[in-house]
Amino acid sequence: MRRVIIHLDMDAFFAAVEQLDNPELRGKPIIVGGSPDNRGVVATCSYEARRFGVRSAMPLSEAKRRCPDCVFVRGRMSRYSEISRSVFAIMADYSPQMERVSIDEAFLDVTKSEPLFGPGAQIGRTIQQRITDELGLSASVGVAPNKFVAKVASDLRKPQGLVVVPPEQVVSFLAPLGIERIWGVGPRAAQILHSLGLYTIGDVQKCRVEILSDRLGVYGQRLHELSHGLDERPVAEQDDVKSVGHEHTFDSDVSNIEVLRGVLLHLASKVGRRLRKGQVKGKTITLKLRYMDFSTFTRQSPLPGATDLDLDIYHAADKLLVRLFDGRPVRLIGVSVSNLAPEGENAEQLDLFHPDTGKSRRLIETMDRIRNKHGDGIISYAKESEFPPE
Amino acid sequence: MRLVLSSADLVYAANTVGRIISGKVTGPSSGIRLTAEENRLAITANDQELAIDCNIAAEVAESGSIVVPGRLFGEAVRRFPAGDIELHIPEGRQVLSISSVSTSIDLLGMSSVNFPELPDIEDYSRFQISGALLKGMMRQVSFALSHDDMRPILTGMLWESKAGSLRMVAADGFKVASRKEEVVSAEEEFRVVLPGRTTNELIRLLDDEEENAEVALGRNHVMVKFRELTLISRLLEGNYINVDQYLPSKFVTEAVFKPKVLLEALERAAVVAKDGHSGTVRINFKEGVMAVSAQSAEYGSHFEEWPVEITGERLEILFNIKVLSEVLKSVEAGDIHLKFTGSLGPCIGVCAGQANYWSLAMPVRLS
Repeated sequence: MRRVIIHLDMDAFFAAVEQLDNPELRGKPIIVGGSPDNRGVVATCSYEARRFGVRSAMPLSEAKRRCPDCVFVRGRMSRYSEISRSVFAIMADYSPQMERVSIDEAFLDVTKSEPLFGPGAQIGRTIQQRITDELGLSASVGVAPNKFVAKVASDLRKPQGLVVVPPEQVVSFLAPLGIERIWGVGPRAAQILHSLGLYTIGDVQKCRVEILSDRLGVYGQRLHELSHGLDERPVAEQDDVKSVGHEHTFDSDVSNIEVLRGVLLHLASKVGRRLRKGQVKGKTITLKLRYMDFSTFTRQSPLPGATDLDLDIYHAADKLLVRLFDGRPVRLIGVSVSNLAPEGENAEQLDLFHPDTGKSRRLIETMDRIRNKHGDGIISYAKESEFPPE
Repeated sequence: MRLVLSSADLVYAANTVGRIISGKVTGPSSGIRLTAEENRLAITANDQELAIDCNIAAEVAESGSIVVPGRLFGEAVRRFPAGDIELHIPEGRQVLSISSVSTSIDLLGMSSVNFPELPDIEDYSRFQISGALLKGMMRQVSFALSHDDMRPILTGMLWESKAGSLRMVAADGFKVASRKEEVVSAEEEFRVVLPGRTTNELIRLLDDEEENAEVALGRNHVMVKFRELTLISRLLEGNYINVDQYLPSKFVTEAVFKPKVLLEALERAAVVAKDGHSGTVRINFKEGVMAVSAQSAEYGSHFEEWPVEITGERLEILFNIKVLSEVLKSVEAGDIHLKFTGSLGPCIGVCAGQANYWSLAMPVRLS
């Protein structure tokens, strides 16, 4: 069946939100991610900063070197989430079939919306305009017969781009583009393709699929399909979440276990809140530690039972921490819960010596209600480490 | 040191103590000590938590003592042909020479000076008990021992003596088992916790018809002597939970039946109850019928019902199949009488044929 898929990607999202909220920053090169004295990486940078060669995921110190006049801004995740929800709410006005890819990016299947709102191109333009009018931000949009082509299209003319690829033009649209734009083509695959003399997607279109399969295995077949713009994957909210986790990179390395514990409690409470929001419980906990020298260790253990409670997660993670931590300075700590099952489907073995009075559940429900009303940072455990809102 | 003994005796002794030495060939607690004196050979293994000493008859020509790698010693003597074996330490050397008429193996050993001494048991209370009874009590309750290191005290078995009775309790919170016997000779009151590993070794080493065992308790150690064996174990530190205070006295539903009926039903339920519900079975008690069912999205469903004697209210309750099976299996005689406090409360099982034993199973809740 012919489909009409929109891919929307916010332009320099975090930086744009900062410039929106703080007029002084408008027109200036800004970098979101933290202070250049710290070791984080660039989360986003404004288009002004990109002109200096600053890119996402670049170490902040390198960004500072390339663009000494850049304004460095610490991220404000809760504000970005808030705006993100508004963006997705606008999109949702045009189709219920939406797939959020990340905080600033989503697919929308508008095949069945065309009789109501007009052709896909028009829907894309309307959404883009509303984001500008209502939120003061800019987004780039691709409209195409499938997810792959829509994503390539939205990326082509940033910022504020609108690229429409009708079905009959898909092959010619892709042909001149570099192979790096194909999903799954990383540096290694690119190297192999280059060695075959293939540089553009058009080159791959003309290449025999046997040659691709020979060099790239099963991916060769898939690559050939993608080069012709064939992608049948449906637009669907990803709901088969396998695990829920959070991690934190320290501004400076930490070797005090009490500090690690404070952070762990903070992370555990974030994980617990997400589990409860998703109405799932998990049975396995994983702790991740990365030391100063980047050596990274993870340890897993079963939780006492399926749980979504902050303190159950924290206590299990703390036991792993005591076993895993060897005193060396820690750079990153993370905790995740997996082996998830929906609420009401977990067999919980009751314990004679720990009768469940429901006290901890009532406490957490109260905390959640307060957070729902006043925001996540409003209430926390005393032992939790202080964090700037991320 | 020089002595002669039968290879069968030596293999028995090596196997008996060999269980507690670590698997490594060398290193701490991998050695065993051989001590020969006055027509006895004592073979001792001691890993500081648990020590076993096996004392067997031998024709001792010269007394002496040596420590050899326990695993190698076991491997060596097990491979000797049947018949007499001579153990000999050549003058001035730390070598154990094991030889028969046609065969000899020399094992490099070391001085026994540094071998950890067996602890003295001071301030002890002592009692005599039938070895078979001691074994039976431990064996009946040991299924309820915890294997969770987070609550170390529950990995041990409580031995409690009051007014001439001895009671043993094991509990992991999901299940509890308690047995009490009159042991006339136990006069002093005590309340100690033996490591689960120690009780397991005792169950293994005591014979089903074992006649007499002597138990001595110190502040930190227990010593059990029977036959040619002496076992000394550290006691677990900490206060054991007072399980009695958790026991309910009011019950809403009671059922009496042969444990085998439900045990076999649970085995059938386990065929399908394998996925997310991780071995959960649902049991309904109503008007003389016990209905057992299990299901899983992945494998299918199971249902059966049996006429049983039921009093009280209708009840639906969920159990982990393994937990309930172990409780049912611990019934050694006659019918089981299950007493329920509700769908989410403890279920007590008493045996019709054994008034001094009870067990408890906690149900499962879907959450």
